[in-house]
Amino acid sequence: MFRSPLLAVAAAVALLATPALAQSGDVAAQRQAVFQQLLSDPANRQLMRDYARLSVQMRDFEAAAATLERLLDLEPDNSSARVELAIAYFSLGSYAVAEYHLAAAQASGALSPDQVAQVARYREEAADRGDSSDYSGRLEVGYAWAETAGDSGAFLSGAIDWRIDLGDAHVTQWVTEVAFSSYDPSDGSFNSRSSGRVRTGPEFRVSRDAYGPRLQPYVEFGFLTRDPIFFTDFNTWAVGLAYANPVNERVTVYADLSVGREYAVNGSFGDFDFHEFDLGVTYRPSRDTRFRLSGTVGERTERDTSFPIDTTEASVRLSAQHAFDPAFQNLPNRWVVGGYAQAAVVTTDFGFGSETEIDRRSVGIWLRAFVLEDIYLEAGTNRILEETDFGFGSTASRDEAIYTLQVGWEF
Amino acid sequence: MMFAKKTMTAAAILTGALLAIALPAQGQAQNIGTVASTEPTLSGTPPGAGARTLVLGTGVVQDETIASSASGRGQILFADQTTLSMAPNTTIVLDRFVFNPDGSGQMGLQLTTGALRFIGGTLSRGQEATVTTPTATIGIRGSSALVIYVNGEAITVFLAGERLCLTSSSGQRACTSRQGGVLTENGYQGVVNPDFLQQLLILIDGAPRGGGGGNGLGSGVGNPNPSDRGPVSTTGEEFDPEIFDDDFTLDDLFEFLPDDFFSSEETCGSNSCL
Repeated sequence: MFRSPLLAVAAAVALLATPALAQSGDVAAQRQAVFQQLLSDPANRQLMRDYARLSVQMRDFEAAAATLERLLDLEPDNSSARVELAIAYFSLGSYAVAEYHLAAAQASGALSPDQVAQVARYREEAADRGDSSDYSGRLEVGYAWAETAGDSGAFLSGAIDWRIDLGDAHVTQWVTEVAFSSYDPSDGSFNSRSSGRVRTGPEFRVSRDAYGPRLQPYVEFGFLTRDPIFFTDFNTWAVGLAYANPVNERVTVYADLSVGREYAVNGSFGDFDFHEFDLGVTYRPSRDTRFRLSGTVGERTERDTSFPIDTTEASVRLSAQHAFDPAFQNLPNRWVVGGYAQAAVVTTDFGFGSETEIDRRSVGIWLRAFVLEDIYLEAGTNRILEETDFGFGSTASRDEAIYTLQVGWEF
Repeated sequence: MMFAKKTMTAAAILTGALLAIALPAQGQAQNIGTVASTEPTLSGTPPGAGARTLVLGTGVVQDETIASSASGRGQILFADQTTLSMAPNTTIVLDRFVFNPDGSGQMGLQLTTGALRFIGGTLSRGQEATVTTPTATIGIRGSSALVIYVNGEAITVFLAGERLCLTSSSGQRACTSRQGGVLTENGYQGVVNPDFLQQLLILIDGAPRGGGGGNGLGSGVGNPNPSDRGPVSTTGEEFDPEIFDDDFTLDDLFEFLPDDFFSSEETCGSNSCL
């Protein structure tokens, strides 16, 4: 069923990957040629600059740092080069060394006002990242319109990621994620719903390498409340295992397996057992661009009944986003554009020989513009095509457009 | 016969001449790196030769002993792009350097006294480069590190990369993948104290000088704002902190599409529509 979308996705990624890989090979060859000249003329500033720039293009900040260390040895009072060296170490995550050079550059008294502001920002960020407790997140408030159905309402969404460094030699962290969302449509709609979850557990570096695979066993608690007219509310718990591994500078793979139970809080349904498996890969041709291909399969089965309701779901999603600077004066200087395509099949067996299959295809695009450093406006549009087979030869098709507008705070 | 004898004689002379050219070349060791900066000079002692002064651009060879004076320091750039910075009163021996055209090989050196900064190149990305002190062996993989050997004790600080390990002479091995992590012969010692780090960097590089603004190198790392992304490995890998994030999706708004019961085009079979 997913063959065609998957082939299209594979072709798209391959198409996008080819020029990036070819360009990478060119840069590597250029850098090697510059390096050979540098070996015989190690103090040549032009060669050093070319070598450092090509290294940064290859995301080899270590080589850039080494070159800047050599330059500073030749020009020890060059404060601008010291700032660059600090940023190279910052990029490598060596925040203590970055702070040493930033402080030295600041103390030199030789920086321009722009550089002073730049150094202050990096020092603040280096101090934050050196903390043993670090959190980040977002909060969004918006409004959504479903055109065909005429349903609309306000929504609230947020997430917090909190990491506590446990202090060992391999940076085991205790990671807690909290996420919630709520949609409150106008009177007459039965689509109101709120959901939330808390996931917590230690994250280990499996191979004990800084950039090797990471594994997080976790427990998760959640809730789902919906319009009381038709639906049952649930509280949930789950245990799971999340895995992420950056294979190289462009590709990261990840997986997440969870099993758990939903407890009916009210309504006519019983409790459900569920399991879910997510598998994905991200591809980053540059630091500003990310593609993500993910697949999810899951099943939930009603407990303690002779005719259990059983729902299976399988979906595949390709999303992409690109951050850019529009370079217009009087406009925010950081924008992000994104889009996705998703295909999903949900099959529900109602336990007495009746089965419904929903085949849903959706696409969407969105644009996020930062009006302040941490505050953004986002507009999105989505199109959903849904085919439902109720069995017994009965089918339905639907075509919906959903528009969203929201303001968000990233912290 | 006569022709054959003359030919053989000519061949012998030619062979002798070629050997005369080739033998010194064979005896001359190949440069494995170059002196990239000195203040004021370093001294080097190649194997089987006398001491020499190393100045900017001088090639260094395998098994060469390199020493800095009490007021000297310097940097050596190796053929695999490794950069070694030496503090004053430091002596090293470049005792293993194999760098094949395909990028494979190995690198090892001895630090008999003093302090150095090792910023890895190609060789230390495939496998550990080693720095051997009289009391420990330090393995550096995909990484940069500071190494100091004073008062009979080895101390190493992990700066960046994949992993740093220290094996003491008693065989005890400790590793860290934490940037700023400190290893000694007694194992992992926690994160480097900023004051100690400052002293070590001043020892290796000299005290930072103020006053001269100077032009940057234009290295391309001068972004005005810190990236909101995580650190990058020495080969460009980075973790995606958002990889498990809940993107806000339509499922957060609607479990099912909003239904007005009139908008769908429904096809019913012989049975009634459900």
